[in-house]
Amino acid sequence: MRKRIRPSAQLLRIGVALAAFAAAVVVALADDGNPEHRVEILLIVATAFIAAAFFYQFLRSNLELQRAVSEAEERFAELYDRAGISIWREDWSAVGAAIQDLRDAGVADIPGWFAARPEETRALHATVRINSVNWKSVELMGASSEAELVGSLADILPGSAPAFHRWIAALSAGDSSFVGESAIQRLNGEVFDCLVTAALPREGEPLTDVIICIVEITKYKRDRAELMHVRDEIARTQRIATVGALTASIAHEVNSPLAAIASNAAACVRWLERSEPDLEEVKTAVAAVIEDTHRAKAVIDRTRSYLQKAPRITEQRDIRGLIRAALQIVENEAHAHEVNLGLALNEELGSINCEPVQLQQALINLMLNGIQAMSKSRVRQLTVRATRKPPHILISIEDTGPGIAPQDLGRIFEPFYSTKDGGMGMGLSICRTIVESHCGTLTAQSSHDAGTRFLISLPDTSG
Amino acid sequence: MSKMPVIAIVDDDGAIRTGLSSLLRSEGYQIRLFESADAFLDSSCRAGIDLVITDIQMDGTNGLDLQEILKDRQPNLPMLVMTAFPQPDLRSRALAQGARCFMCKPFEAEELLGCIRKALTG
Repeated sequence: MRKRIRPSAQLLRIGVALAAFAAAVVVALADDGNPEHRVEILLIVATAFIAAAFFYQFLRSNLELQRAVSEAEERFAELYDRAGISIWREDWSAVGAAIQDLRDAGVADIPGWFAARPEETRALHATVRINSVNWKSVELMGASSEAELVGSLADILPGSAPAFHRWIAALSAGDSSFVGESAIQRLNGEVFDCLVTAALPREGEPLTDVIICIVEITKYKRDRAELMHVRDEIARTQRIATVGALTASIAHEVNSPLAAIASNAAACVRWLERSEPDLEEVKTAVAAVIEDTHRAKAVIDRTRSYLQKAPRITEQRDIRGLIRAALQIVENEAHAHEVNLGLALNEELGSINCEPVQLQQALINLMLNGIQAMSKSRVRQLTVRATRKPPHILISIEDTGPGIAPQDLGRIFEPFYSTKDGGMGMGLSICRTIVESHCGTLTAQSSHDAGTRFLISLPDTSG
Repeated sequence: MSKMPVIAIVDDDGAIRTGLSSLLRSEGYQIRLFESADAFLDSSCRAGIDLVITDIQMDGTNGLDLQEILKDRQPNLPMLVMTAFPQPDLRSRALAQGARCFMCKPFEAEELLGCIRKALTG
């Protein structure tokens, strides 16, 4: 960085020299030969010099401060222009004000308030203004100049609407930063995936200049999607193999006592149908039936016990992180189905002792279930809420789909029961098993044309 | 009254032996019970047996091996094969080796009795 001597510093030095010269003149002119006056004059001059020295020091510090600020501004401008990532400066003050108004009005669940009001949310989204962007943003968006990207966020990036709910959640929760994935449309219509990060101002501070960084992650996402697909396939194959092996084992062990029961029962009928019923034989056969029934039950108990004893790897995990990670995974699917994702997480959720992969699998299954259920709905909103109500942590996943018919609602958690064409009917059953294995409950509430709400209740283990 | 046929039940599952024994005795058949294929092969009363019902999955000599051995030693002895773990290759092998019937546990009593009658008269 170049160092420049500013004209004001030169002026200051000249000013100090002139002051010294003036003092010398004053001494010369005021000298009347009286030794007492001379001492007073010298004291005055000395005091003036000390004051001048302090003043000089003050002005110097001030100048150095100005220079530091100026250099920082230059550095930021250089970074802003030459950074290899896209940087956007946006005005979110209207959103901040709207959130503050709701807070003042006593609305506790602000994200939920917006999730239930799509029109108001759209209008608020339209108030966010892009003030400036760096050249990397111009390049990323395929624009010819910065001017093409300055204006209403909703107009320039209409694809930012689904992520807007997450911004509301982060701002209303007082988060210090925002990190999320989004899909953005270039000016030529091409859509790319990106990672969006922003440092959010502290509560009460203005949102007039929010600095947002955007990194394109299309290739990373594609690779990750392929990896997930492969992982899903492996998991599916493993599940099928496990279920197959388990079924074969159970079949083998249960079919034998069943065969014995069937034979003894048939024998009973025949012993009784004789012209002279042989009650001793009947008694023996019935006793055998009872014994074989116990044997069949023991097989089931043994299998259940084996499954429950399967080694579990549990760890204490932050619930907000778990939910956010699950939501990120389904974002692509939500985008493909044009579903808005809403998130309302209570600040005090804490952590939970769980098998994170399993619990996340249940959350993802429920979210995907909701997204897919809304394929024919006009309003497509999936909202995930979580709150802590000791001794429970409640997580709800709500969609605005067609709802579940009353005759199906009681059976949706049964294995192999599906209302979807080609559905295997294991998804919700597996979800409930996972939640129950965490000592929790999974229930569903639904009414015709009013969507479905899945509610997970887990024990609060955060202490 | 003619002598009722003698049926050997070869199964390592005691409950199956007891259940089938009761069912077949209720129909008047005479029953001999064996807890393994080897016990049957070692038995001195094997010559008087009119029909063998055998399970497939057993320790030692299994039901299909027993079938093969008996095909050489007593080619005219009819056999019914049963299993709690049905698989297409087991079924085709049993039938190819001359089993009169291949039954999957649990089976209907009438199915078994029908097979027995058919095997004894055929």
